[in-house]
Amino acid sequence: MMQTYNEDQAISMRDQEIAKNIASLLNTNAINIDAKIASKLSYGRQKALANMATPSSRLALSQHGVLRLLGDYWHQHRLLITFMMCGLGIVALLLIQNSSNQDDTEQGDAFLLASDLPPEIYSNEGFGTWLSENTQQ
Amino acid sequence: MVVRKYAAIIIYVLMSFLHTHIANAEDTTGKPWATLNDEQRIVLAPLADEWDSLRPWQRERMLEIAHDYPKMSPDRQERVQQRLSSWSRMTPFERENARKRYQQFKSLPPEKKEEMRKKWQEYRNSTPEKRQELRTQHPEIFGTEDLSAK
Repeated sequence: MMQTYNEDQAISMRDQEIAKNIASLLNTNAINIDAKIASKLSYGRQKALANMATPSSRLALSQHGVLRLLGDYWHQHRLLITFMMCGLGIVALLLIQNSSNQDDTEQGDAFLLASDLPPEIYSNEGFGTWLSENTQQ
Repeated sequence: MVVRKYAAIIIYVLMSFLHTHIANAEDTTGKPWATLNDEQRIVLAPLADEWDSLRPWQRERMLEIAHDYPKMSPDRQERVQQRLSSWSRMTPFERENARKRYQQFKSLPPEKKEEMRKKWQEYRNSTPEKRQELRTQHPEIFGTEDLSAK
């Protein structure tokens, strides 16, 4: 039992030693790395950090709660939500158009034909002039 | 996954709604006389002979008249039937002018409308000679041809 514990400890210490050697080797080589490659790596790192930071900065105003949930949802499904909103907008427009058409039925051709005066009178230019004069009074 | 499922359902409903709307809009335009229902045929009977030669938009307008017809009293329905043929023979320009002036007439003060109705009744009840005289005196109201039968 004691022997197994000592063996495990020895393996652990050896692993740590190897890790230290690798880190030291990387540090040494990092100092001697080509400037061009170092610049590219630095640029890539900055870009990756910027990408990671974007969603959280959009939600900076609402760190908790429903707003954040909505923000996350919006961020993940913005195309889908935009499409759905457009669809709902079209449906709303059609419904408004339908209801306004229903209002117009009281002013449709049938009511013109059923009025006290025949339609020929309404199409008479002179009657138009008479109407304009009497509307202005 | 659930979101996509709901989105698919909503998109399907929207597409169905649009499809129905477009289908209804197309349905009313090119109907031949044989495909009209009984009510429409009764209302539009004065146009039976010329119906199939009417343009789709003219048929649509006439079907709108048939749609509004049941909402009217019997005497108004009779007037509609009497005037349908002449209405269908008017040019689009004349009809559009008539619509505009009808709306304008409706917006006149009640006493002005009543005055015009009385003049028209008087004209209709006059003798042909008197009507001719009135047309000469007031062509702006009674026109140049005798419309008393309309």
